[in-house]
Amino acid sequence: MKSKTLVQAKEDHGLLEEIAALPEGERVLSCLQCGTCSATCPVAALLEHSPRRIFAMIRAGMKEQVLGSVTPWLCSSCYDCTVKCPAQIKITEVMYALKRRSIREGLANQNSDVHRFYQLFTEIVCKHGRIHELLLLLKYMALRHPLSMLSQGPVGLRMFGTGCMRVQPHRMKYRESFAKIVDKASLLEE
Amino acid sequence: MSRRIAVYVCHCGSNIAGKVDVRSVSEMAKSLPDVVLAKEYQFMCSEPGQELIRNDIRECGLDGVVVAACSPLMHEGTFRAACSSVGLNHYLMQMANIREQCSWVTEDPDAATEKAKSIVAGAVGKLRSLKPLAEREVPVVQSVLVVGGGIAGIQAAIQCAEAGYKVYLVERKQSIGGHMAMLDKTFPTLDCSACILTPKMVKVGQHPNIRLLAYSEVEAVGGYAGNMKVRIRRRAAYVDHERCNGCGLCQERCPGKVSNEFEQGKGERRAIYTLFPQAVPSKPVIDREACIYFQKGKCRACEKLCRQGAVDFEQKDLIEEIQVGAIILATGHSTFDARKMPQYGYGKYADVYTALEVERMVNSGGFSEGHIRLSDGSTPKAVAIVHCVGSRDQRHHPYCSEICCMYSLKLAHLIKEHTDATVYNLYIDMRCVGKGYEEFFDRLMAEGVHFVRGKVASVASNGANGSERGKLLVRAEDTLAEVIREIPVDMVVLATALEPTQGTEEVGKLFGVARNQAGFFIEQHPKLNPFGTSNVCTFIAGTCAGPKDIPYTVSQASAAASGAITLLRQGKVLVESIAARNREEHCASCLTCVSVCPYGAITHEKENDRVSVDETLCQGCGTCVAACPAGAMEADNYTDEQILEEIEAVLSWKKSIKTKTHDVLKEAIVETQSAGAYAEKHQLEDRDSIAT
Amino acid sequence: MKCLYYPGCSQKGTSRSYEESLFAISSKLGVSLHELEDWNCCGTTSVVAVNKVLSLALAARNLALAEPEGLPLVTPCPSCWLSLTRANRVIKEGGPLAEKVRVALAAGGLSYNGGTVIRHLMEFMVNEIGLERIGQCVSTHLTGLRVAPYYGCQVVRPYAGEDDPYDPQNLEKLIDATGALPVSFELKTACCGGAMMATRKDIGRQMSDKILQGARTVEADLVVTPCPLCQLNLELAEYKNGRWPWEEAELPVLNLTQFLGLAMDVSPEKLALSRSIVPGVKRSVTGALLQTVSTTGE
Ligand SMILES: Cc1cc2nc3c(=O)[nH]c(=O)nc-3n(C[C@H](O)[C@H](O)[C@H](O)COP(=O)(O)OP(=O)(O)OC[C@H]3O[C@@H](n4cnc5c(N)ncnc54)[C@H](O)[C@@H]3O)c2cc1C
Ligand code: SF4
Ligand code: SF4
Repeated sequence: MKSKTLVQAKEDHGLLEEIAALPEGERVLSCLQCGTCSATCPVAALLEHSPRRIFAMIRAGMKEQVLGSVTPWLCSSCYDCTVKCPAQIKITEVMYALKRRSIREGLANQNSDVHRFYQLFTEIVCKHGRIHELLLLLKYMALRHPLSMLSQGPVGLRMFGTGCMRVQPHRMKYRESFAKIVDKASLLEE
Repeated sequence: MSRRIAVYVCHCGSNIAGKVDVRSVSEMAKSLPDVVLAKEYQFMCSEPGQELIRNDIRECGLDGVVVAACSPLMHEGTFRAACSSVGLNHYLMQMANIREQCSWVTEDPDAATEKAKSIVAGAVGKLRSLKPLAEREVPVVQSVLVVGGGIAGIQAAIQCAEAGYKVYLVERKQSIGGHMAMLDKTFPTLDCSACILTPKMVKVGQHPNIRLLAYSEVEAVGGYAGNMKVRIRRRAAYVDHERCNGCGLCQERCPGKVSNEFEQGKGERRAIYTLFPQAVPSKPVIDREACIYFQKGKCRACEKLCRQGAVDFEQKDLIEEIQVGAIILATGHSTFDARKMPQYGYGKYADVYTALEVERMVNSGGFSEGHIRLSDGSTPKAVAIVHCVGSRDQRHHPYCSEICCMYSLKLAHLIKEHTDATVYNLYIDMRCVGKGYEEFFDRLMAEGVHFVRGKVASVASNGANGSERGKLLVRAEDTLAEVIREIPVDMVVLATALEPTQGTEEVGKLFGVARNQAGFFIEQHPKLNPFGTSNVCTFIAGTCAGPKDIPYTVSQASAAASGAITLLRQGKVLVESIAARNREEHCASCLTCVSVCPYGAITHEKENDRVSVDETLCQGCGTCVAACPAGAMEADNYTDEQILEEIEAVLSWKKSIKTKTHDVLKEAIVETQSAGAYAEKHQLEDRDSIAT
Repeated sequence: MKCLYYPGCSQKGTSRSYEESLFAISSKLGVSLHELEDWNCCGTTSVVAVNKVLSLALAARNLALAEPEGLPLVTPCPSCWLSLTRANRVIKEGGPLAEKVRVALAAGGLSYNGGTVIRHLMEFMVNEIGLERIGQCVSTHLTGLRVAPYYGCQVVRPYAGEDDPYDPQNLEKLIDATGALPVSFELKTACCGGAMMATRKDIGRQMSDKILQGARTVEADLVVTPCPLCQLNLELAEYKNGRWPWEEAELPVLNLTQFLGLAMDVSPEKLALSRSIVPGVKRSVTGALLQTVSTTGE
């Protein structure tokens, strides 16, 4: 954050209201700012904003900063905060909602490409019906830094050696029906 | 019979008029049968509002009044009095609640207006068939029952006794004192709890007007307002308290040992025991479960030691019946079971304590004789106090326990004073509201106690490391410094929430006092009558009505006592004239009614096989009316015909608008009675549009 | 006992050892598993980050395919179990989201009425197959073997079912049934960081390191987990500074089914022990077994 002064009218884009209107957001307005989530979160210590702070920023209407933050993308979906939050906020689900929103609004942090991984994953599933780990990793690494593939070499080789990575992608039986479901669902997104 | 009815529609400022179109309600009312006039007014409860009613009754010869306003809980008394002051029997005044049940809970203004019209139509319909009933007054028995002998019960009992009334104080433990007897010092002044409490306890024990029934519980409540008959079970103590002089010899050799509940399970007590040294009464009781004689058939050591011959293994429970005119409930609180939050390690790590355990620890009369020691006997160097354990937590108690911040400050001070340890308070918000409380907080900050704003997420053990004892790691986000802190400490204190004591539900049922969602007793009015209940002869005091500290508890207890004293001084109470009546021609003498009547008001004369209701005992609760399989029982002004007439009126109004108002509204109202269902209907439509 | 089997993608990819060992013991347990025909990816934690309706529809398609079979749908993967369970709840609760999912399924000619019962393998073993039956299948009591139960996240959170979400016991019960000693540790339900394996290995690594260390402090001989992702991730975490650990330093991380198979005398080949990516796991596990067996004189 560069400036410490928040000019309300300019910054407030109603993110709080938007999130609160979602089924998973029903209790976000009740956040106590107690920090249970942050201190529970296994990755919080490494995040630029703790989960609690994300909620404070949502409240402050700091839409760009929230959606541009990698915090939601680093959420490991462990649900530990969700079961402990005294306000019973579905934090992990809210993190998903923030991820979706950041992609949809084109605000995802461009210096980080974690979100690309999730998009690639979804693309592969939509196309093949199942995930093909090798394909996903190769695509992701190629997109990210092709050289990183080399550093993964020994582990990767080992994974092939033990036969735990399959080379053949899966073929669906009812392709057409599946594709229709995927297309329709994509259209119906919130 | 035709009536002359007036309808008054209240705006209640914007409370009603902000949602309901009051003018159209009053216009509609004019069209209802028997209604001779209808008016709307800003505040019906104001003096001019009441005058309006009185005036119309005089001038227009009204014989029925409907006030469409708030809940009858609020102003039924006001309007009844206004009517009877000019000679209209108050049973001919009906309230139509268009605020709590309509304007406050209905979102859509149109729907609210239509609903208000239905409610008013129903009230008029009902009123048309109501009968005037005579008012009844009954004398109030000149004695008071206080249930629970904590500081609240003690205060209330003393005050009523000093005013000259006979008081029965029932306490289920063998001594009075409650939680205050367990505390060491009290915030914010840090005066010794026992020093200020014991004189009051002694006074209770000695007061000629107080009959202390310790080790006893209320089993049944009967009778009627102003004359309640209460059955009390006096549990067998196996010690004749008349003979016992409280010397304590018996306890010395008793081999039966169990963990001491007064010391929160730390330390031991004997099977024959007094609760604590300053107990009142200070006579011991024998705990059957722990007694070797009762369990194994051999021992009786105490009997041999007692010089008074007071030990009596044959003693039986006694049942005692008393009559009282007023009741004060003061059953207090208990504390949240910290095991329900396993992330804090209570019960898992020996050095995680509850606040109450630490109270006993710092108390010189307690299990560690006032020494703050860890489970291994050493003195802690760092201590963390975890606030809000079970409070402000939707998973446990959503409410704030109000006193934990303050007692945490107190314990922080005491721990520092006793051990010079580094003390951390981990809190969500500091709530120090009260006289001298903020100053106490300030003092603690100046004393160097650490404050971390963040709720503790977990307490873990880092395990022993060589010769060094393992530390407890307290994890929380320091939300102000914006870092996650892992604080190694030797001792963790959990500030557990206050909750209604076990048995509160049964007590509520016995005495007919409602409880809120959390289980605390509900006051008659949260602001204007925070010590009364919906039952005019029953009052509440102390933490049984919600978390509070000692000063507030004592104030409420005094208020409850003056409520009881006022009632006894008045000497009589008005009771509902509504009574049940048996229509003998329908009665099959199945006697269902006799068994269900909570007031024992129904008798069956064997000789002529007649069932009849004693009007002085009948409270008009209607239980028998609902239960009677033959439909023979009937309650005044609640007869089947009268109720049907009311329903008919509600529905007929709807029928009439079906033809009058325009389409959309019409449909909505016919199909859905409440605005909730109305809203749902619209949602359904939205949903359909998604699908297409 | 007949049930439907939902493998999930891992089972067919990186966690073939889990599937192979599951089939190796299922006949012993008297369970016949029928793979759900034409199942698709549950969407897991990834698709929901991109498109919620899509993620629910993906999961719901499987539920719809399973419904007519009228059998419980058992999956060994906690993440699949959670995705399927969540979709099931959303649909059963009704509301706009459920409606959207219904419409999406209908586009593909499918419908789902909430009739599929989803079970996770671990819980299914404890509550359905029963510890008694499992105990009867144990032919080599693993007495003396110290086994760290590692649950991972999603099998206990946010829905723990009958188990205690803070201190679950299902794994302990299963370990105990083999005669081995379950050695619980603080981090048994902590997150291994698996979701970050591909995206932020630095962070993921720190998390899995802590767990391995936690298991080591309770002197575990091996770690058992019901989660294929955790199993892989913890194994990967043993690869440090460009090399695999030496034999003594390595801590075998086994799939639940591999572990149970050991006690049921299923051959290491059938249990796919050699598929472990940490070299030498097969050797060290069988070694440890031999040792316990010889010291207890069985
Ligand atoms: C750890 C801790 C520290 C505290 N420190 C302070 C402080 O420093 N300063 C301060 O102002 N406040 C303090 N408090 C609050 C204080 O304890 C309460 O305000 C006070 O005790 C309330 O008194 P009470 O009479 O309402 O309830 P209680 O003290 O709970 O007394 C209720 C009594 O009723 C009896 N009873 C219950 N049910 C029945 C029944 N069915 N029949 C008959 N008898 C029954 C009980 O046995 C008990 O004797 C503290 C509280 C705790 C938990
Ligand atoms: S745990 Fe819940 S209430 Fe507390 S800061 Fe996090 S989101 Fe807010
Ligand atoms: S679910 Fe996400 S935000 Fe919550 S604790 Fe786990 S990683 Fe952190």
